[in-house]
Amino acid sequence: MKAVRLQIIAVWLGATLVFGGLALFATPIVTQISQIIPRTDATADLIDDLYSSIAARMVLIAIEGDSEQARSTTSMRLAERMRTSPLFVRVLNGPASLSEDDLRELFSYRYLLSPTVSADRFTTDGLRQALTQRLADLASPFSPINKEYLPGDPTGEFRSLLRLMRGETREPAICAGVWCSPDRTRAILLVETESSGFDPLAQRAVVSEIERRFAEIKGIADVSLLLSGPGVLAIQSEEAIRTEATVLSLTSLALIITLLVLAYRSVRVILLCPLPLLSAVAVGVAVVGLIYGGVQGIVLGFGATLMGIAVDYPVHLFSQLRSDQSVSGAIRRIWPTLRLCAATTAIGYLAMITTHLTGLAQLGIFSLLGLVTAAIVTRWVLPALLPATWAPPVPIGQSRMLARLLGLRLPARPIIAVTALLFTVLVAALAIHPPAWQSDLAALSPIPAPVLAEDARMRSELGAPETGHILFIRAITPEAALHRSEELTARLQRLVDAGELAGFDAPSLYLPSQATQRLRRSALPDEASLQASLDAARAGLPFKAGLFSPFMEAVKATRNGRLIGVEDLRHTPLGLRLDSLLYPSEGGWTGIVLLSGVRDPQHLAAVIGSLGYSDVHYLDFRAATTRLMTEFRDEALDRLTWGAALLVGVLLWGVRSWKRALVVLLPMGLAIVLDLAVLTASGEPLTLFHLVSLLLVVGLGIDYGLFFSEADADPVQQRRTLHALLVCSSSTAIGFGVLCFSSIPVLTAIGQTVALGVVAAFLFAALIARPWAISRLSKGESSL
Amino acid sequence: MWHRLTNRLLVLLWLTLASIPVPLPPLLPALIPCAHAADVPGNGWDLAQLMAELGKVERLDAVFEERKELAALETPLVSSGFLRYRAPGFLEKEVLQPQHALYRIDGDQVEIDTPDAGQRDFAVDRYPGVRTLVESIRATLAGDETTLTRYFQVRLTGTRQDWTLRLEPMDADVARRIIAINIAGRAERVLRIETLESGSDRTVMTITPTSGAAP
Repeated sequence: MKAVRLQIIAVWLGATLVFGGLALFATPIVTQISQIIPRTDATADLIDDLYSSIAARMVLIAIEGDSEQARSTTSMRLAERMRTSPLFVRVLNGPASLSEDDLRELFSYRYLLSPTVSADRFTTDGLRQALTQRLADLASPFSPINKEYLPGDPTGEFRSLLRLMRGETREPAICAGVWCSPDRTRAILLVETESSGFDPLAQRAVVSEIERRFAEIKGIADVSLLLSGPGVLAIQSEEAIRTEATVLSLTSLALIITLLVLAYRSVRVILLCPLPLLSAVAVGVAVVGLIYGGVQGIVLGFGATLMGIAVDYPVHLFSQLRSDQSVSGAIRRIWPTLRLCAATTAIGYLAMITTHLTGLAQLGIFSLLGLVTAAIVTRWVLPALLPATWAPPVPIGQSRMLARLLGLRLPARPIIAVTALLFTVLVAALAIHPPAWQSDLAALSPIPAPVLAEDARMRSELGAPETGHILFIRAITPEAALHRSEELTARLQRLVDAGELAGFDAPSLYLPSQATQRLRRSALPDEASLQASLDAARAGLPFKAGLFSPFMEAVKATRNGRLIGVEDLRHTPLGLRLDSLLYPSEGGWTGIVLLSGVRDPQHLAAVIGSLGYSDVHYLDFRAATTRLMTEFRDEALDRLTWGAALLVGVLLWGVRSWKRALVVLLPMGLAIVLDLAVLTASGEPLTLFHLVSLLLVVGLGIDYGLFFSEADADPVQQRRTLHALLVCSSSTAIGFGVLCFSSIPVLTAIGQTVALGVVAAFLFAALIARPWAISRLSKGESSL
Repeated sequence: MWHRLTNRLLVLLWLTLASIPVPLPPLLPALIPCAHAADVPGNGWDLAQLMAELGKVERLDAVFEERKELAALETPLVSSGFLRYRAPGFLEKEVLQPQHALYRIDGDQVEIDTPDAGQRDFAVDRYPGVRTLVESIRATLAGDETTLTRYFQVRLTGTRQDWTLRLEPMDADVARRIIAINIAGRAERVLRIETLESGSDRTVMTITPTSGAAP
């Protein structure tokens, strides 16, 4: 016997080490939403692009406190320091001041880049109009500044170019030389990081770098730093969750241990109870990791929730142990019920494995294997770890309190009738007024609302680019992408004029396609005719003869020179802007057109579609993620319906009595609909987390129903069963009840749903299943 | 006998002094020790005092005449109009001749209204150099030494009745375009602003107050 026990322990230890090792060290946790959706969906690629785009690489900084001047100085010093770090691609804190080199370079490209170049500009009339304006410029008090470009650029092309660079988007207010919020209480900065905002390690480095630099330059000023942006929020939420989760887990752990101590007064029990759960998680994670190459973070969370039921199995065992009976005897006695319990619940998850949504499939595999592992460990490993005959030093069988509880006699049939009616009523109520579904991905975010509001505020103050609606252009060459971009912007401009769109940003605004450049170049007149037009235009105006020879030279140079490409702009501020809108990607180049203020996304999608460009894709981020969420839900509900059918089938086959099946299913059903009714009544929309919590309630309900409906003739045995069920339900209620105190909506949702469901399931099982079992006993039928 | 002679000399001296008419005052500083601060810089009257005096002026309404000599033009540009200042941040130049135009700054906001470009407004820091040009006049009128020294290297010459402030921009980029701004005045009145620009361009604005400058 001892040899067998040792063998079992050895096998289990070995297996746990292998699976545990795999789970901990060889299974990466994937957290990108795009990984949840199947790769065949075109949206997946687009969302991936979004993650690496500039939108995901922004950090918003605000400096508060002290005086306006102090904030301004801090902002300038911070920007200066940050620009020396390789972590940051761009640090913007005020009106972009171009270096002399930048200016000179852009100035030389003005006749190709300026959007106002046309043949009309260089006719006598056009030049006369320009020269008149230049004269007015010279008369203004700002002439020292704007006279510099007069000899080379009388038509003002450079000015058009600079205006284009500044963009049509709102520029932030300016206080003491740097950007500030409209109410002037904060200095604000916009930073573009090298790494993606969704790379938590890299973003952590970014955040600590910024904080370090701030501390360095702060000096005696009483200023404080505020950070926001996708990467920052992601880290903050992760930390918030981790901190809270740790505190809550420790609290619930402490409470559960206290409960177990009260219930069993044995250290051994406390040490052995978590083993099935740990084994379940290890196996689940490892196998999913092996099949999929990684496990999704969200599956891990859901799976761990569902494994709450694995804590109940050892409790059933421990409550049944008697000092005068062998451990293996005890487990063999409860094994049929326990096995049925695990089997019915696990079968329910089988249906989820066949879905094409990887997240759902992973969850199915995880839960199925986990439950089976927990049952196996309870059946064979726990007894192997206990002495042949052992019982917790608590006289469960002699408990007077339990005896008194069991003494309550309740009429079985009336109760079943009433509760069945209640069930029908609740189902009807839910059918008439079904619970709302939360399809907005943003609502699932663990980030608290005030933080999101702050982020939105900083975003609007900085005029940061909106990333909700984007057009992706997939092309083979940059020229093709730019050409397509020009065609799109022409159409988009019409939409802006019609009020359908507030504005847009496109790569062709900064670098025109070769075709457009060629057009502009050909609009430039030859030397002779330009001279003639210029002389005619100059007539009557006090400009000196020969003043505009730099202009003549420049036009000639552009006419005879080459066109410019992406490389030429690379090191200029225009190039920076261009980089974020046009970049090499798999299979060629990708151009991005950012849309802001989209009034009607569907209409826009129709307009884009009608253009018939197969290389242009419209991504409405919110709509896409909502669609994915809804698809996920629909698929999950569909699978679960099949799962429910399988569950009922297995249950019927297991208990071989439709009556017993009824008293097992009715409490579970009531707990579920009661949960749903409470949620609907409180107006809270359902999320995936509620769905998973309800799945757990299903499992627990079956557990309580099965055990309550199996009444032993021996009253001592009955007390043990009741003891086990009380401990089970209390520990689950406590464990998840603690989550209700969380500030994170996701955890609160899970906590409330499970706690309510567990208590309801227990009470209904006690009210329905037990009296039925007792009545069968008294009728002399043997229990199964 | 000696003290009788001394007495006579003293009486003669007194009579001489008593009979000397008004032209005496110019000699007085040499004869009589200073009872108050002299008006020569370095001798008590300095930039801080000038700024304090200018700062007391709360409003200015003046007529200006401006002459711009630009290398690009064959003839100078001449204009005239009104100049208005209200402490501490409002400055307005309304051009009447040859064409109506308005340039106004209030705090940090610049407003321009010209016949061809229409009305525009923007923040003073939006374009480099604008702030410097604005503060050269506005900070001087406000007597704001802190702001002046932030944007310029300031040198004061002359006397209280005839002083000149030479402002040289600190920012290298601005200094390339504006070499210096010389502001001349008398006591608390600014009378002349001369801007020396790159390419030997020069602007001279003469200011004639129309209302009293006293608070």
